[in-house]
Amino acid sequence: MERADARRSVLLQTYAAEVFLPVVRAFVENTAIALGLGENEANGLTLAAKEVFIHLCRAVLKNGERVEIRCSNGSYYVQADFIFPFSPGLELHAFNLNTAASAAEDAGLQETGLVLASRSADRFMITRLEGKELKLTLLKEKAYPPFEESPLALPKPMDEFSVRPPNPEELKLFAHLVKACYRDQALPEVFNYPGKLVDMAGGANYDAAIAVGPAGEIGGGTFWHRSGKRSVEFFGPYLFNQNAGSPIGAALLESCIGAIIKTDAVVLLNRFARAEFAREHFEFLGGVSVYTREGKPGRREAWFRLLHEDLGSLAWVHPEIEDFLREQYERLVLPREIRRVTDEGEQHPRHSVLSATIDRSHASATLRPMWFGTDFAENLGRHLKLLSQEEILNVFFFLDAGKSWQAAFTPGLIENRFKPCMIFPCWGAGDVAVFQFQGAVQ
Amino acid sequence: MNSLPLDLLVPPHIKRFQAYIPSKPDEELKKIYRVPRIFRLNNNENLLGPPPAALQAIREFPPPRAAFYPSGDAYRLRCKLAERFGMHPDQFLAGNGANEVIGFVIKAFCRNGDNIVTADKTFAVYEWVAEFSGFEARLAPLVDFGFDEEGMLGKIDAHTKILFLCNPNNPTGSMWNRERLRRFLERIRGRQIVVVDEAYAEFVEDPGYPDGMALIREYPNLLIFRTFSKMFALAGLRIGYLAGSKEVVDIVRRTCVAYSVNSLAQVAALAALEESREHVARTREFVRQGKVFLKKEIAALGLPYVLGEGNFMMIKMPMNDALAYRKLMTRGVMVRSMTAFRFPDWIRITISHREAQEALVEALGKMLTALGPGIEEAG
Repeated sequence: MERADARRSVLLQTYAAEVFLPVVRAFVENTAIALGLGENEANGLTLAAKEVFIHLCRAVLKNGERVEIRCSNGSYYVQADFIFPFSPGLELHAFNLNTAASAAEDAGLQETGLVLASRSADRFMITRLEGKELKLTLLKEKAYPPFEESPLALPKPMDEFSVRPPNPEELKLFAHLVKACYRDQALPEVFNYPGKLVDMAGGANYDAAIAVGPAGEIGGGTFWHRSGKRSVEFFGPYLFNQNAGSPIGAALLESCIGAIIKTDAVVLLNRFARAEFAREHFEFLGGVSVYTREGKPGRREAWFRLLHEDLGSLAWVHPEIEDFLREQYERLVLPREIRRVTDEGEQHPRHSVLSATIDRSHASATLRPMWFGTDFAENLGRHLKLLSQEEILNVFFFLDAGKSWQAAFTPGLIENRFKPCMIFPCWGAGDVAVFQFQGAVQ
Repeated sequence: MNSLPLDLLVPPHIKRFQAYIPSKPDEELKKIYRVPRIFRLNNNENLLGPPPAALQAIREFPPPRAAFYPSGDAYRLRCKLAERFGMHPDQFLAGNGANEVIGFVIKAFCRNGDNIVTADKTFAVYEWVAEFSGFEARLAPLVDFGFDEEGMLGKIDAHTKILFLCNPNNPTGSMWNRERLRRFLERIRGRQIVVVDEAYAEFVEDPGYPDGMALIREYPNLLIFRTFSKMFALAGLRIGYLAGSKEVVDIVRRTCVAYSVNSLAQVAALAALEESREHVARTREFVRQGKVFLKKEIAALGLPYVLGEGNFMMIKMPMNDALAYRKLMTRGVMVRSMTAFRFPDWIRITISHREAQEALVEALGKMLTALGPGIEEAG
């Protein structure tokens, strides 16, 4: 499949002053259209960018501070990054999703600043870059026609097959076959939009492989993508009308591993595996109950395999989840030196800051710690209230056991009815403990 | 101070490359996995140790000589090799392990836009060195666990400079015989450099195994790699070499780092060659017995395996190999997990002493029991 040479991006360097707002709006809107967004999606991204810029000017940065806005084409989406300096005088708590642009607007909390921006974008996140910069990201997906069911001839069970990357038409056929053969199973949302799958596979971070019979028929397929600096997420394998025990699934996994083994990925995660396949090739991490956007209950399981020999590492742990982590490490046979982190009366800043990644298509939000502060429990409570108003039904919190300072968030999480449900080994600087909010769905 | 502009400084082929992370020292691993001892079955070392003459040479090495540079081109060793193989000393180049000579050859023949061809499931260093040097490594899939002649030839294009063949292949132990290698070289017709890595040559007992050194006379584009790390058990001293026609070795010498092989390694290697016949016979017998034991025990466990030439064996696990590695480590047995060789769910083990092999078999048995019934079918 033809792949874009590089992720194209266009840069605007401007200053934190509202007088530049028209420049920012025009830049984001025109660049988004040039990079392939439709008019409606470009408007949504522009609206989100406008809210972010106003928020930065009013609540975060000093007048005239430098702001860099980078719009990039991610094949199936356009992303706008706001990058600005992190200085000691910065009002850090202003990065919390629940922060209003100004005190006067407190009454209309949910209608302001970052909330509004997050609502107009498909994904919204804040990250701290290497060095002294922060990045606020808005991501808007292109619009694709939804999957339309069409009559399909299923392949016969195959004795002979080869595994290779699909061309775009084969990839669309693969998506249709998945929908036809896995009608009753939870599938990644991308299968609802075969065109999106093609664009994803043409981008930098996604790859696909299919098993093809002698006459070119597709007996199975899989796709995978880089989900983090050290992690790859693997989808499938999906087999079409093949006999039990068919070697196609293992061959597809092997193809993925062959493609990523010389990269810096250390862990392969699978959340949509057939259980019988996953049991043989992956290790079970755990399962969580989730709700669709329509409120329908479901379950998600996660499986993983390490790509390298585990040479052991440190896990910084608060006593409140030490037993949970020990149990996980023992079950998964992961050699970890557990180091307890306790509060011994040292001083902490007042304000905590959380980063929120909102995925509206799955009614889901993932919170991550950015800075610890003594107000964390209250801050988290405010986030939960806001997310509930935003009809986000699934809230997760990721704590990186490789970063000692993050352990301090544990008591606030427990107080707010979060429960550790699984770990993602080697997912961050160390293993990531995944907490799920156990409160009532609003 | 400004932050380091690594994004601009680092070339893309280095950015996407993953550094190899070697295993930690035994003392660390024992702590991490909470075991009193570790049987290392992961590196295909010769568990009998170096030949007695090499041990003697190491013992007698005068410590004050550490103050002086070694022979910069391993002069005496090259003369000895020339005598042994009936060749000229200038037909040999020594390196800090055979890994180093891989780099020499790639640097000598490849320039921007060139590529090398090898197999997908073989000793990974050919591919690594090519990739982190900025050259494409074209990989031909193995067929029936062996190098595929047609697949390799099919990968060649106008920019292909070197073909790497591992014979016998690590990790599968498959081997090309004399006729097959000769046929391959004929089909190459001298247009590319063909490297035959014979790291495990001294373990091979099959009479059809080609005499690579002799073929150099007929095929001046042929380079043979050998090492003292495997059969001669000098892995800790890092010494290997290449042999080829004078004109090709003269080119490779231009990219070779002189003085990279230390004095102790040179004297030990020289001594090892003096006494090789008895040592090779003893080691082959040791490996033969180990293989008989393991074949029987692994088959009794119901695990598929691949066992060919060389002092190693591959076993297919009914679980992912990274988990198998961790579980075996908790029982003090260290193996090589094979995902990195593109053999997911396989492990490779070194043929070892009976005690270590029994520990391996016992640990595997306990792991299978813990998995419960039906596992054999899954494997």
